[in-house]
Amino acid sequence: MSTLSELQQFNTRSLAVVDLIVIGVTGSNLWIHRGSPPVGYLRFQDYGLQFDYPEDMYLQTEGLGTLEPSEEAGTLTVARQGVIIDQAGVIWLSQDMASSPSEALDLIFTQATGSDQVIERGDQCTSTMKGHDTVIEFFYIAEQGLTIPGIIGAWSCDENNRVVALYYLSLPDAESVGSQAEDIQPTWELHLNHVKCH
Amino acid sequence: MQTNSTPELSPSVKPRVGRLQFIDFARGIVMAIMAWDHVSSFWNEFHHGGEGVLGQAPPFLNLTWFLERFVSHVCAPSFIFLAGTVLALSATKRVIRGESQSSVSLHLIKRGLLLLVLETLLVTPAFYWLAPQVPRLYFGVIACIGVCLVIFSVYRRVPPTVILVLSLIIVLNHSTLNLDFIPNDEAWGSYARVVIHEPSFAFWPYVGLYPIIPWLGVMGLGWCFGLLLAKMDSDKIKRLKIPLLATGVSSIALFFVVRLMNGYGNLLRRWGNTVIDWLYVSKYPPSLAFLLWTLGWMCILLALGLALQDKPKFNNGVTGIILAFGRNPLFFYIAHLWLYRLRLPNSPKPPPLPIWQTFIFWMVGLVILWQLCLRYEKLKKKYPRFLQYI
Repeated sequence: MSTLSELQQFNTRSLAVVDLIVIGVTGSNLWIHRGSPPVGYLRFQDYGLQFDYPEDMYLQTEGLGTLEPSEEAGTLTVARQGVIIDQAGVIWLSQDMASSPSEALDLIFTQATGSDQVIERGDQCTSTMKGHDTVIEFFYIAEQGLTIPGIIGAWSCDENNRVVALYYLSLPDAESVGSQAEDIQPTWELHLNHVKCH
Repeated sequence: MQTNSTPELSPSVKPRVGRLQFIDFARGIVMAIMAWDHVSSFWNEFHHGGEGVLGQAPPFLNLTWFLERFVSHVCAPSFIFLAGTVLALSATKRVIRGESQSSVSLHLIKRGLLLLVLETLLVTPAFYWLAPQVPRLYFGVIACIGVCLVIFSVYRRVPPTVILVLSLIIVLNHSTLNLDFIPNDEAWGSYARVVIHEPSFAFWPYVGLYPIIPWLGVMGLGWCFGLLLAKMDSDKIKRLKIPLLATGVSSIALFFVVRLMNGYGNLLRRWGNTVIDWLYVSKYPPSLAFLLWTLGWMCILLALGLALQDKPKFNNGVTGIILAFGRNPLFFYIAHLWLYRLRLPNSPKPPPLPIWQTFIFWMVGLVILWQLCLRYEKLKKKYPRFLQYI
């Protein structure tokens, strides 16, 4: 055990004690916070879903084509202010409404197309993401003279009889005008890491 | 038995005479870079700051505008770390000179309080005079150092290894600190949280960017480095060149590891793989990634200073100018703000400058500041009693 006089100076022994204490405290702190959302994130937990999103994004929930979300269907949107578009969202549907991810995507696009915007859909591909067969589709939204690239992926979550979809739209600044939907896939994948459907 | 417990020096150690020029050199470089950041914030339309405040990620027009801001990240951590280092060296010198511990503490308290006054009267108006209200309680870097000095008037009596432990624990863990028990919907509570740990502009005019807790950890590390230097003779200090360089390079390498892992140590996560995504880190409050990058570069600058300080022309030319900045950090800080602001309080904001004109303005300003620093040094020698705190 170090004596007080040894603590007064830096030597191999005192620095070893320093290391041990700092590693112990930091390790314990990380262990205590292991279940928490990552630092800088907030957690949405409802309707059988868990979604961690960055603190600076604003969250809104609504139904799919209705005002209020329900166990049957709903939309969770997070968006960042101060940029043109930087928006992610999780959509859930019961398997009674959509029996497959492709069917869910068709329903979502039908609901999303508004009078002042045109959605151009791309080809679909299937990939295994986080253990689920995920149908991924790129798309572009033409709105008020801007073309906003987007990506959506949907998968069946059989554990709770739902189809869940995650989309991401991004046009963060004027220089990004003309960017391709494929460019935003890494960010969509980062969001995907923060979605749990069961 | 020695009663002056802080800092401890063995009788065999001869106190060095004169300044450690490599510290002035590193500090001088970061002061000049800081001047660039401020002149750009005063005169450029697309200059952004506030990285990390409430998790914000302000957009940058392009990579150039991102990098012109990003280079200045090295300034605040180096400024505060080296403030701790110089504090340890000057406290050691005073104790060796025979000053009592209470006199050293009193000096620190006076200097800390003076910094708070300067922040309120001279620094805040320079930044915010054109805002709807001047935030009289803006808690900036000078105020943060001032409070840290007051804390160190007592804290310095704690054994150095304990300060090292606490500083490392703060730097590695402060991001998980939860201040939810302090009400955030009342002015006093909001301001307490701003000052302690949560930088914010939400409750104007009770705003701030440099909370005490994380920066006390950085200053504590600087203090420990200063105590280490105080025990070394000139030859040993010269041999620190390689360890400092190795520490700096390792720290920057660790920064990339932390960004790659994209979890612990990142208050702002990496959202993609562009240069901006990799380098966009939280300064307010300082994340571990931010400190690894900035203190890493500071170590490299210190190593560079050690490599250059024995060159015959070190005190002349460009390095001579840098040293003049580094010897007068507080004077430089206050003078540069008003020089680059270049307009009186309440005067209308002029149109923004293009970046190349801002660059020329910055260079011309540095020459003027160099001359001002030299004149201030002469004045300080003439009136040491009045100017010892600045």
